[in-house]
Amino acid sequence: YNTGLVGALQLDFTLDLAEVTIASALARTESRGAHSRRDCPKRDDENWLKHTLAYYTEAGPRLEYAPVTITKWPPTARKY
Amino acid sequence: MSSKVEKTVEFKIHRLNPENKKHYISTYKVPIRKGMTILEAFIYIKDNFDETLTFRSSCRMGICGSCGIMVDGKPMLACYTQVLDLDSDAVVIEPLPSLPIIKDLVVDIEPFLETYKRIRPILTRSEEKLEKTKELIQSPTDLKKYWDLSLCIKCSICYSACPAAIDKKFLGPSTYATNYRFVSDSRDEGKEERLNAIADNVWLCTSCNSCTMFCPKEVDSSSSIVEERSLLVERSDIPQTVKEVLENVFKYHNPMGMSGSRRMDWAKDLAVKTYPSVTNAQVLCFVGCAPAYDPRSQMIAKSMVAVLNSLGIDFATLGSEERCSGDHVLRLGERGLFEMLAEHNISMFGKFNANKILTLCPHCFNTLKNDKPYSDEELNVQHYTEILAETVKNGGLKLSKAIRKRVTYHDPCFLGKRNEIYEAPRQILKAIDGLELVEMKRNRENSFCCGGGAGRTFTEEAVPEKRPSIDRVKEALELGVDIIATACPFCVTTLEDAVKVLDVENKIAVKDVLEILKEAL
Repeated sequence: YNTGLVGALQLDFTLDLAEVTIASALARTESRGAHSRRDCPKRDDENWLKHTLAYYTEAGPRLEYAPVTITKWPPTARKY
Repeated sequence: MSSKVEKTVEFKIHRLNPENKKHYISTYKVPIRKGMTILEAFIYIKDNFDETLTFRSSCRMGICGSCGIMVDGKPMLACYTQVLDLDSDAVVIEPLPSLPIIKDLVVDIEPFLETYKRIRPILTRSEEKLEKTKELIQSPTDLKKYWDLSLCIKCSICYSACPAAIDKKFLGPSTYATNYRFVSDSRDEGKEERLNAIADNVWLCTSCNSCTMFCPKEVDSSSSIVEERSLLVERSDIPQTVKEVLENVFKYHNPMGMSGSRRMDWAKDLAVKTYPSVTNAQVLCFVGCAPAYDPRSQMIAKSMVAVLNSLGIDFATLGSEERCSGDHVLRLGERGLFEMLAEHNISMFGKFNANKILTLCPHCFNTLKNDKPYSDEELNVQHYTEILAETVKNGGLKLSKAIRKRVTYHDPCFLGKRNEIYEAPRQILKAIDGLELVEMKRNRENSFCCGGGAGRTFTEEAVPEKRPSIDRVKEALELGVDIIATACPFCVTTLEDAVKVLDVENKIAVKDVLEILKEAL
């Protein structure tokens, strides 16, 4: 139970993931759920209804995309 | 968080080094800013003073249930408690009790999580019906029936505070609450199996209310257990011991199964005024079944007569018209029988024109004060410790003898935790010349139940080492006291049994405050 060591390892991973999150978010020019951009406030299913996949390269994350398979619940706007 | 340091608080943290199994205490002085939680203080210590300090946490916002700890003897979530709210310059931090310590403040919660494997904490519904429905729709009214119980975050605070959980046969407060959450869910079809899972173990709960009191999410596990017992009573699925108690109360109006006509036998040489020959008095004394019938508890009743007489208080009892108040019956889940008893007692209070009711037993006191239909009557009911503390305060109590003994006071749950009467009995004891009052580590709202509540004094089946009373007497023995004082006949009985089991009768005595007081008259 060396939580000091766990903390150090987690910091390392967290920094990697932070970079992936920022790079993916910059590329995704829409707003969707928790991903919210003032410059692109609307959801854009035509261009962005897809998963982001990030791969490691020395120069920084390389982004690819995969289609979303819709089964039971098609995405609709949340209205309260 | 505000940047201004409000004050410096000293954290005394109880730790365990798992490599050499050594327990030790580390002390840190932490600058506290407004809004800072105990968890943030731990993180401050780890970042700035000692990176070896080990605690468990995750969400920091009262959702994951990882950071349960003891703060000055009270279990709570480190992330849910602001340091400034403690209003203290020095706090003692310990790991949760009753669970094995892994390191410092981290305990092994596996034994707690294991209890969930003995129930089915997911919806039960037939495959056939599931295929037919797309969604399981529920009305807001149906949702409300279990919503509060679904807020449990499995932090194990209730489990670690629970006296009944000493016996691993018992599931644990939150596990029963979760079980009842599904029983109460209109979509669920597993009620019978859910009741089967608890039928032989739910009776160990003493209704001490610690689980409900300390729950950071205000989940009322204590009441869930009573509701589950009610369902078991409904389907006549109760152990023989419980059945006997309920049958005795039904037939004889007391849990011991004694004749109603013998209710005043304890007072036959004492000239106590009794209804119906006396129809009014300044104080109506509601004696309670244990002080009336149980030979050991009768000594408490007799002491009461001596004390009230010495104070010149005009009192009477309902005699054979008094019936069990029904507290144990209600906690055992027999609401119907409870209501019958209450109806009778209430009508007698009316006939007697009772302006002031005094009880010897905290169980009678609590139920007369707080449980419907008694509570609808707004009875002027007091536990004897309240009345006597008042006379101590205004100098009405004249004591002539000194008692040179070292004494600790055990808080009865139904007087303390349920009614917040902590100081009155202590004030009485302090008024006795020569008596040295010392506190056990677990006192007042942090007190540890004797194990006698909710009928368990009558139904006890656990082997001695699994009884809360043994744990409690050991705690008193560590203090080196001559007497454990308490203010409840059931606490006296269970603790005295534990003294006998531990074979320490020559070292320590168990007495009701009234008995000590009588000796000092």
